[in-house]
Amino acid sequence: MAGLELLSDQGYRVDGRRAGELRKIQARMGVFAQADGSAYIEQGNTKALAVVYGPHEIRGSRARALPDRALVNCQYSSATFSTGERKRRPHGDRKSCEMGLQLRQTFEAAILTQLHPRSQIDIYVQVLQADGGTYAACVNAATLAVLDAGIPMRDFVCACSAGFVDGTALADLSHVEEAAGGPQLALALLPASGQIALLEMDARLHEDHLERVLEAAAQAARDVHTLLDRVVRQHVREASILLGD
Amino acid sequence: MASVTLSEAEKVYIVHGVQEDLRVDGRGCEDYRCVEVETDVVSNTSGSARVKLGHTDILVGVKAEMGTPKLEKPNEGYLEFFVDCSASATPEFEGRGGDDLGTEIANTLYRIFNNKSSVDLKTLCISPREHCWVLYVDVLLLECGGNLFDAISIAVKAALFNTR
Repeated sequence: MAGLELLSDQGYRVDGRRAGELRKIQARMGVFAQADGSAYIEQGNTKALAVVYGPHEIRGSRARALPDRALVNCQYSSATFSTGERKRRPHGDRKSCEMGLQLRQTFEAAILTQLHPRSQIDIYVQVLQADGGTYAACVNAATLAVLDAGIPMRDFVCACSAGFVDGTALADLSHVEEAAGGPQLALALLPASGQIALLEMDARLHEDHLERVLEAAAQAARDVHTLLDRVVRQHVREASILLGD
Repeated sequence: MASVTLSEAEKVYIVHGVQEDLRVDGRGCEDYRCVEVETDVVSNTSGSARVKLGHTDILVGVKAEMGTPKLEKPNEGYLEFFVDCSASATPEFEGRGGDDLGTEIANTLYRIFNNKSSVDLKTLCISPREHCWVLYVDVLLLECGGNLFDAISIAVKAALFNTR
């Protein structure tokens, strides 16, 4: 693309970050009183809200109940004013359904579903503003919301996107970098064990470079974990102060 | 859970309280809950507002785009409303469950803003019959704690006020 350099000679990206640097992350838990668990996260200009209801009885057909574990149900919805161009339908289109499925796969791997047989856990994610890295922001927000709801998980699920430009792996892509068309990868990691919950890439990348991009995404996810851990501890500390412990 | 089931005794208790001008949360019959209004919350819109009325949380974004005026009103721009009841308000709104309530509220909003005294649509016109501004007002229902119409109308008003 003429005129837009994603990575300058000195190693700076379009928004002034270095190759492996994350955007500023701010997160809050317990935003809604009525839901069982809720969380709000801002990663740069990407804002996502996650709400968890559950575990509760299966709604709709009882036949869907699994006898030995809980059913995880995810819905991804992005507000009509979230992107630069106004979106017509907030949910129900293909991309939203696909994201919902990916979130479900991610969280079925992390939540200890055997503890709640024949019940359902609903995770609803709403993207208020999309500036790249929406899957990662949704997963991070949903992790905090599930923790806020008190549902036991194997580990945090931390996600980050990564791309590859000019021989360098970039972590946490913004919308400009995603739109440039290079290969991009979304990774959801369980940090303590280093296990991958979900890895998604639909672009062409030479296998020699895969290792580096994967490592950049994994390191970024571990950095996200440090931040989310701090947020959770802060929230618990505030809650215990209010309870008078 | 967002839905609350009441027993008969609780219902009788509430009705008796209202007859004495005392509601469940201690308010009188005509008292409002505290309203919090915040504008300019979403940066890639022309105007936005967030209203919290007790447990009700509404987020409104206004996007201005160019369009052609309607045939019966060539000198005016127009407003388009869209209400999205998100599933985070209550699980019953998942998928298409919230569409009925959404269309009902959107139709009410169209009726409210249809008269001349609320929004001056002539200022939205750029050149008659050719170009005009179309304001897409998108309402997002984040949490449903009663009294939706009031909160939504306050939020839409605030967002339109905030629109540059």
